[in-house]
Amino acid sequence: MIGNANRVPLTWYMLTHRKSRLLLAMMGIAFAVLLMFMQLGFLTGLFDSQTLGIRLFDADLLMVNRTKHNLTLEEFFLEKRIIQARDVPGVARTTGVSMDSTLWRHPQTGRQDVIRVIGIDPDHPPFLLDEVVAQSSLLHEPMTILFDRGSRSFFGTPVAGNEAELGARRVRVLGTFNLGADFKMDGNVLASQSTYRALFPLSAPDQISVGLIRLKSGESPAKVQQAIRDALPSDIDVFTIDEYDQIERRFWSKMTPTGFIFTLGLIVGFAIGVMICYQILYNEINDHLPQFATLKAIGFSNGYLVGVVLKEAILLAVLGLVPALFASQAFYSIMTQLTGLHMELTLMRIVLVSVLTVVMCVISGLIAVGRVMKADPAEVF
Amino acid sequence: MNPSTDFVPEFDGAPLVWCDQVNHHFGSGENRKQVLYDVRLRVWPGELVIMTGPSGSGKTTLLTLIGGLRSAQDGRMTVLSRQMTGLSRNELVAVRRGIGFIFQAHNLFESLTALQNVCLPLDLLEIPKEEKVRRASEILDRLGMGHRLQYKPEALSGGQRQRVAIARALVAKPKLILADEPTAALDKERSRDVVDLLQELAHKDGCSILLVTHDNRILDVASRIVNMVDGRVATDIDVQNSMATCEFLSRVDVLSKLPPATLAELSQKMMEERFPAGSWIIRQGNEGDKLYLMKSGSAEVVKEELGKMQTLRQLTPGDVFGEISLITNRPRTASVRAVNDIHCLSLTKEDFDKAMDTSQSFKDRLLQVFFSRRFQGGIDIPLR
Repeated sequence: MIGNANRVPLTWYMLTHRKSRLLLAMMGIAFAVLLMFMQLGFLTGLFDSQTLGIRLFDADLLMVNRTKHNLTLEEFFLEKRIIQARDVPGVARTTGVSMDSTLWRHPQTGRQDVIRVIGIDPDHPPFLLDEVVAQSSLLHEPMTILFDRGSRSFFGTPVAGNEAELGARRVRVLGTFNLGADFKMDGNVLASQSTYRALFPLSAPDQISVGLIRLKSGESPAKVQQAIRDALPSDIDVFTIDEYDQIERRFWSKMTPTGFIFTLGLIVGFAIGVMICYQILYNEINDHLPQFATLKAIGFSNGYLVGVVLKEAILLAVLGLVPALFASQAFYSIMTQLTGLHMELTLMRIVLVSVLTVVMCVISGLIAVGRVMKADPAEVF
Repeated sequence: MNPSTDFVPEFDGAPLVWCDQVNHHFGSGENRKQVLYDVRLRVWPGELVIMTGPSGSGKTTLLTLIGGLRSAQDGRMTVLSRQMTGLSRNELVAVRRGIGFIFQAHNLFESLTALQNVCLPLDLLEIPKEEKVRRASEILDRLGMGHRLQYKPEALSGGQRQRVAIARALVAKPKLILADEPTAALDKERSRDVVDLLQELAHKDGCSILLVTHDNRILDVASRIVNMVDGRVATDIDVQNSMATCEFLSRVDVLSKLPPATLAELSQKMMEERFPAGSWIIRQGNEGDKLYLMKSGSAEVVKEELGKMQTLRQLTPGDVFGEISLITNRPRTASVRAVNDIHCLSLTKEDFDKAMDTSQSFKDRLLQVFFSRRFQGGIDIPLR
């Protein structure tokens, strides 16, 4: 039926007969699709931003406090555990990272906002970012920082050489890098551990937030992970990067309302799409009821009419998707710029929303089909 | 009694439509309303039957039942050799494919051209696209739409749209065509084109056509006219035969001045009778109970007088006899005997009297005739 070029392509002609109506229908569908892309963008932006840092760690395994559910919780553990891990066979090197937050004052406006401070070993840059690798050794100098350009704009735009006020202390910016904000923190700065301790005098000097473990080449991460667990006391735990990514995502989707809200938003977008598409199809059928009844009188089966409606539904889905894709790409770009969150239109996401769109239109088509079945050929007389 | 439907016409084969004791109801429970009562109808291949009747008479409902647009509830209905009662939806769909429908509203798809609209029914057949286009173009051409194949309905006049709809109904060469006011939107010339085409299909291809209409410009193409009133078949008149009967009747002096309506009524009330060779149709001296119209065969008028039988004259097809006793209310003045096998129509005295009563001019004429006959010296001679 679909590929039969022999038959009159009734569906195509019906849909494209009046251009203004078609345009309106396309916009309706595109709107619903855009809604879904937006919600998906927020959701994935949320996850991607949160896990970006994890992916950028220069490590194969991460060591954290046993009770730490995600990176944003301030749970610390003994630094010596990281040192102990170096003795476990398969481990190449380890380094520790401390995280806390304090107030940053905007150089010009004087506005104060909370920013994350990441304390590192300047000789062991923790992030796989060129600029971090290149500049981290500069942090040996006390009270110096590297500023994350990806932070929200209200922090200002300090460059190398600027002075800044961080945690009511004077610091100097030696350079910048690009990491990006997330849902918990609007910005980041890198500092040496000694600068960190100066900024956070009340923090325990022998405790760190995350331990980064690099393995010797050829070593199986799962095996070494187990070896470390066996070797060290149980006040810490070790995860592979992938595992920790998953933990982080699960936390945001299950334990916080944010994930739930955006998922709900996605469902609402879908439902709206079903309603819009159903409305369009219902009107289309109603306008053509005498013609459909005539088709039945000629001898076309109900199945044929159902096919016409479903084909129209799918055609609408495709036609609505195209403008929606362009609009979504524009939306993602704007949002990334405004919020610092990473929103990306990947192939997987396009496929996902496309499938949802087609399903959405087919569902509304199936509901609308009930109307077409009721077209009574006897009434045409 | 309706002789016309008992009378087997020149068409052979089984009727394409056969309805017997068909009843139909709408609604259920308290709202149940009967719309068809005991409908009896036959349509043979090659017949063009016109159905008339006031709105609400059930003719459209009957059309939808015959066409398989509704499932028949009660009675016997056979269409295109298929039993129509209690059919499933799929079976109804299959029946519809052999029937062409012409509706009052054209119901064309606005988004398709005339050619595409007419090609639609052909999508049900497994034929190549070029063949579909050829057939569609041909029928459109025959209806005078050959120059407008690529036009959409919005660019066509009302009459043109209706012709496209008719083309669509006929393109798959259905054996049965059901039409509801097909010429309502057409002018005289176009109406003629359409009914001429329908008549041609009936005569050449042996199609049967059932046409509901109030258009009296096209009555001449009908082989039969069925009149429905209040859900019943009021009259079912074989046009050709009835017209012949009326014409014969009108040749009878007494009946010649009767209005056509009365003659038509009379012809409807006439019954078929057959008499084998040698039998007596009328006996001298008997009460005059019927008059007769000879259809086939021959008979002789014999009078017995003073013990001797005397043949007065021969009767041939077209002759009316036996009307004298009805008129004079006197016993038969002569006998009539069949020479060979006779087929005739008879009319009872009761019906005759009723018809006569209603006609004033007839009474005058009658008195005139009596007066002139008495003048001829009292010899009763059959009226010519």
